[in-house]
Order: sequence, then structure tokens, then C-alpha cells
Amino acid sequence: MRVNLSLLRKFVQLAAFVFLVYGSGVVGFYAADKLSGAFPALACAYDAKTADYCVLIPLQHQMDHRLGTVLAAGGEVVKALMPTLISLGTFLLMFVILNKAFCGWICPLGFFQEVMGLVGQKLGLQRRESLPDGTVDRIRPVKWVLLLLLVFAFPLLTGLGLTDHSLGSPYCSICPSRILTSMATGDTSQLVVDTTNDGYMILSLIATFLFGMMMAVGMTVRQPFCRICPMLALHAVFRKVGLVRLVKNAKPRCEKCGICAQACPMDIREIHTEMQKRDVLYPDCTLCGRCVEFCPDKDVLQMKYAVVPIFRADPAYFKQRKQAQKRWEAGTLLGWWRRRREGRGN
Amino acid sequence: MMKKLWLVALFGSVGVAQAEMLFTENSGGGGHAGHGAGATAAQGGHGGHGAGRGPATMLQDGLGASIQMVTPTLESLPVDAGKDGRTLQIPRTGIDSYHLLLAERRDEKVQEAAMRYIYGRGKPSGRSPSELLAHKATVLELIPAPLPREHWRYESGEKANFIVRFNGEPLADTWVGLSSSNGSSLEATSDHRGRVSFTLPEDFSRVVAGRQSNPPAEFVVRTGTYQNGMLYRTNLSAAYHVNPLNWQSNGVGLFMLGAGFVSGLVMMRRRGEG
Repeated sequence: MRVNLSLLRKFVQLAAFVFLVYGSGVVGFYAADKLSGAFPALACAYDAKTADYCVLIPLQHQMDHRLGTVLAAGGEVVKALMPTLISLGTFLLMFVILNKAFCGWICPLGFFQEVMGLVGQKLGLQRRESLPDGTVDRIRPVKWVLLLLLVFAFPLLTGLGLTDHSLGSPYCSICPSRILTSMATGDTSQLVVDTTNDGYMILSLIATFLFGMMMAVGMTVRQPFCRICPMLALHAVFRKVGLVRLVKNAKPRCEKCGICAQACPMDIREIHTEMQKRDVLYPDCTLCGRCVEFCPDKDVLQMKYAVVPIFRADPAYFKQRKQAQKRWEAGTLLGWWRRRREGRGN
Repeated sequence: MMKKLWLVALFGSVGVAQAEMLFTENSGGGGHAGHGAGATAAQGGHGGHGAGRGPATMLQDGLGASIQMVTPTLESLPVDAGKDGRTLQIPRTGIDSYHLLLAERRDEKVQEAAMRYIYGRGKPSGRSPSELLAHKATVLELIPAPLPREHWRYESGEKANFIVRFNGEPLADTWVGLSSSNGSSLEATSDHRGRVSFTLPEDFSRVVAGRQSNPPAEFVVRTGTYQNGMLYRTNLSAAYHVNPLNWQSNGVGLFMLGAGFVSGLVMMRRRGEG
């Protein structure tokens, strides 16, 4: 019997959540103590007890306070870009180790959304296993827009003096992980609406509303914020250099099956439809491994570390996993309530 | 009453010593007030957050004092008190981290020290401020526990903790006072680990919305002790800022979270029906 990969992943996610959100006791309190200062998941610098800072915060600050101000003063661009290159280099050193699995296995916000999904499932709320293709296609570009505008463009324009200071780090201003991780340490200072000026007020209104909406939608749709997260887009840019890979050896049966795409929390239907390419690590993939778990054909889908297979599709595992999933989904609060009422009626 | 007498003995007319020496900041400079307690220190804003030099750091009543700066790498550099004997000429280390300014003065009966942590800009040192805080710089020390890190600063209404150390060891059951430039004063006694905690006073008379719109005030933490016939007294000064909750609302934030949650449920219900 093989280990249940989803269960193993939940344990890893829980451990990563505890470490990243409360880990300052282990690594230290100050910036110099943190793991990298450019972490490839949404560990948040606004969390007083964090073990590391997500790469998106230095990138925004460097656009605003370094590149933008140097460009505005007519300074040397290459020198001004050095901190950004160092941050991206640090990010890459870590990213190579786990690739996009930083999203599916490590990110605190990703884990929180999965927990909301579990809550929704146990409450018996409607679970939409897959969004319609058209909706998925419309959502996909949003992460790129957020990366370009909120992480690079607006901070740069602010550094150039063309936009208000409130747009100096606009992604952090709306990031749900900032609210989640600080609240998880008992700090409510990030769950606020800020009336400093129109810019801060609009961003803080968006942030708090978005966090509430993400919680509700997360109970019925899998990983709602991950789909538009700029970190997912940044990962997508560098995914070819990561050591963890997702590989497909397509067989004719694949065309009629499609369980892998149904299992995918990011609704990547191309995992099912791709019949030529071996590399099926798509931009939206978080390397959670569910597609491999739910592939019924031997070795068709595989997770590899460089060239070494670490988890392969297997018919026996598939049967066992499917049964376990069925048992898990059978018990819901709403179902129990209905059965109880029916029992009384009889 | 006893505490008041003790305070007078320590910081008032001891006779043998001059008026209390104290590091202060002339906040008329141009640093970025938005990040970090020491961000507006002499070297101007913390890493990447400020353009140009910050406000000047002064030493009041420092006649006869020796002044030094302890760097993040624990080197001690001499600091010149400038032509006016007050405006410090702080050496640039090029290291991005906290530095300790220390002024010491002693005579036969009194040894006094003034401390202030300032943030220097430059390349990351890779050295934690914990090392600077653990380093014994003078006999009687007041150590922030912790110093505010980036995106953080001392704010009114928030807790600020300090450790009293004598010869590098925690000093228990010792009087510690805090006074602010806005006129507040607080007192406490160090516990068995030498720790004291103050809630910084909400004493800004004029508050406008926005972090950068409110100039900081100064607080001074003081302590003193008699040991072997010698009076030791030390102060630690720092800037503190208006609490942003004056223009930020948790209530409205919670309301918006609720509104987002309900909207999300309604949206998903409609999609489900569709």
C-alpha cells in the first residue's frame, strides 16, 4: 500500500504553514535572520512572526525605491537593477529545488484555501469540481496582469513620481496572505480600512472585501485566489528550470478518460487533452500531484525530480485513492441534517 | 513619592554631574518617516526606503562625553560632536542595519550613558541586530526587546519592552522611567529577567490621516542603580509615531470582510443555480 499523497501533502502544508507563519522563534525576528528574503511562496513580511518574506515585497520596493527613483534622477540603470537581480537570483536558488510545488505544498495561503474547501465540503455546500472552460480561460490572464501591473508597473511609476505613494507596493496592499498570516498570529492591524487618502482607502477596501470573498468562494470552488495569484505567474516564468517535473506518457485511452483534469484543483484541462508533449507542467499547475493520484493507467502521469520518478500513476493506488475520496466525501453536515430530518419524518 | 525622590537622585541635582546627556533627533530633515523606528536616523531611512540624508542626530548636554558608534559587525567607531558640540558627525559604514550610538561620561561618583539605535543604509550585512543587542556596550544598559524591524516602528498605544542589564547581566527589581517629548511619563520596575514593558502614551495633540503626515515624537527611557558606591545612570531615546489606528478602522475592515464573504456566497449560489 502506497502512502496517500494528498494526506502527506496536507501534513507538509500544515508544517510549512506553522513554520512560515510562526517561525521567527526558530530563525529570528529581524530581516537579516529570515531564510532568504525572497521566498517563492506567500510568507508575509507583515506577519511579526514570519520565518521568511515572499519575493514579491522586495520586488515592489525595488521598483519603487530603487529603480524608479534612480531612473527619475537619471542614474545608472544597471546599478539600480542589481538589488532586483539579487532578489530574483535568491528566489531562483530556492525555486529550483521545488519548482511550482512551492504553491501546492508550501504556500500558507494555498493551504488556507484548501482548508476552506474542506470546510465547504464538510458543510455540504455545493462543490463545483470544475469551472466551465470559458470561465477558466477568462481567469487565466488575470495573474499576469496582476504581476505586471501590481508588482512591477505601479511601483515603478511611483518611484518615478508619476503615481501616488499608495501604489508603491499595491500587491501587498491587496494580498490576502497579509491579512491571513498576521491574523493567524493574533494581530488585527492588517484587517483595516485605511483613510489616509483615496488610494489607500480603495486598496484597503479591495483587500478586506477580497479576503472575505476568497473565504466564501473557497468553500465552493477550489483554490480561487491561486488562479489569479501573481506568484503563480512568476513561477510560470521560471518553471522550466525547476527540478520537480510533471510528465505524461499519453496512451490512446487518455482521450476518453479525463479524470486527471477533473481532479486538478486549477482546472487545467490540457493535462487531459495533451497527447504529444511529455512536459505537462502548465503555467497554472501547482504540482499538487492530484492528477497523478487520479490517473488510472500505469505510469501515464509521473512526478519526477530531475529524471528520477518520485510518484507515478498506478491502477491499484487509483482504486484505493478513489475509494478513500468517496468515503471522505460521503460525510457532510448537510447530509447528516437531512438524514436526521427524514428519520424524524418517518 | 519614594519614586519621585529616587528619580531626583538619579537624574536631578546630583551635583557632581552636569545635566542629563541625551541623544535627540532634529526631525526637520528629509528621511522617509514610513518605515522602521530608526528609519529617520542620521544616515537617512532604512534600506531602500528613503532618499537622501535623514534628520540630524544631536547630543544634548554632552560636554566631556566620549561618543562612539557600534556597528552591526560590533566595531566601535569614534563619533565627532561637530563644531557646535551637539550635531553629530556620524561615520557612514555602508552597512544596512541598526547601529548603536553610545555616549559615556564618568567622574568619581557617577557614570552615565546615553544610547540610541539608528538605522544605517547600505549593503545588507547578513548580521542580525540580535548580535548588536547582545553585545555589551556599557556597564548599565537599556536594551530594546526587540527593536522594531522594517515596516515596523514604535507607535503610540503599542507595547514597548526593554531589558535592564548591568555588566551584561539582567538587572532585576530596578526602577525604569519613560517620558515623552509630548509630556507623558510612566514608571515601572524590572522583573526577575530585567524586563520592563510600557504602553507608549497616546499623547499626540494633533493627528491627521497618514503615516507621513504626522511628525514623530521622542521618548526617553531612563534607569539607574547604585553599585559599590557608584551611581550608574543610563537613558535610551527613540522616536515614536502616531498609531495608524487613528486613521485606520478595524470595524470597517471587518465589515468589508463580511460583505466580501456574503457576496462570495451569493455569487456562488447564483452560479450554482445557473
